[in-house]
Amino acid sequence: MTMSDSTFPDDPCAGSDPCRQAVAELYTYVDGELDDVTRATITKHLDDCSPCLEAFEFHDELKTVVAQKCRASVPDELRARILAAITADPGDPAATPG
Amino acid sequence: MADQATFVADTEPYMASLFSTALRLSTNRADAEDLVQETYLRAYRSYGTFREGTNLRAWLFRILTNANINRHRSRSRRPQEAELDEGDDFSLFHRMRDRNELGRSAEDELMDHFSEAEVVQAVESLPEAYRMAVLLADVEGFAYKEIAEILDVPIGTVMSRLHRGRKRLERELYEFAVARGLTPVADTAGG
Repeated sequence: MTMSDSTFPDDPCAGSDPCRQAVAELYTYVDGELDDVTRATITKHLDDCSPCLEAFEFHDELKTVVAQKCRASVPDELRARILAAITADPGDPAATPG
Repeated sequence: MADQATFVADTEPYMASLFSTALRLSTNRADAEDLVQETYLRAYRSYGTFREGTNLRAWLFRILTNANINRHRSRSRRPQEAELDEGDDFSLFHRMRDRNELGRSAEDELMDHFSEAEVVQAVESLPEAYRMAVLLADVEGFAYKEIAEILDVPIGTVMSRLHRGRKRLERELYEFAVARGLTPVADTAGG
């Protein structure tokens, strides 16, 4: 049986219930999807458990890395083309004029 | 009827977001530009059906998603919710930690470990359904519920696509990093 990467086999807290519970909610935590009570419970655990804190901070930062490096700015030519297309478009075909 | 000036004023602030997403979906600029233009025209024509007070940005992304699907009718609309594969359990964090690549200030350094080209290539390597979930969550910051509405799938599907997409992304990034000897790159400026 292989050890899953998503547990913390090398950490002193390995196998403890609070760590497992925290790691199970890693994505929902960094995505801001948890209810206040669960979030507070995990935040408290992270205050006490540096291996878990390190993992959570890593994933939070990875989100930032992806976000920053995937953004693109709109070419001026495209913006102008879209505005021109809208101006030339008759608009909502179902709408009654005027 | 949608007033042109109102429509443009309301929707133009989201053009950069839509274009960024379109670019990572299409992987080339010409297709991405066409997709964004089509999204705006569709949105303009159906702006009368948009209810004020609801989420305009999510509405636009839903139109973009549907326009993208229409452009690729040959692809199945809903991807197979694939079995877990070996990549779904990958942990970039553990690999980097075990190689002592995470220094005292890991948060600041992670940005320097991967170039913009590497992150973009890793994202673009993801199956489209996973890629879209990752883009909407990580780049656009949509809530799971909003992503579910944009993609017209249950929240549980959003979560599993995000999980798998992120794990595969981590594996891709790790492979890039290993290929160049796990040394940080120097393009934090984003070039």
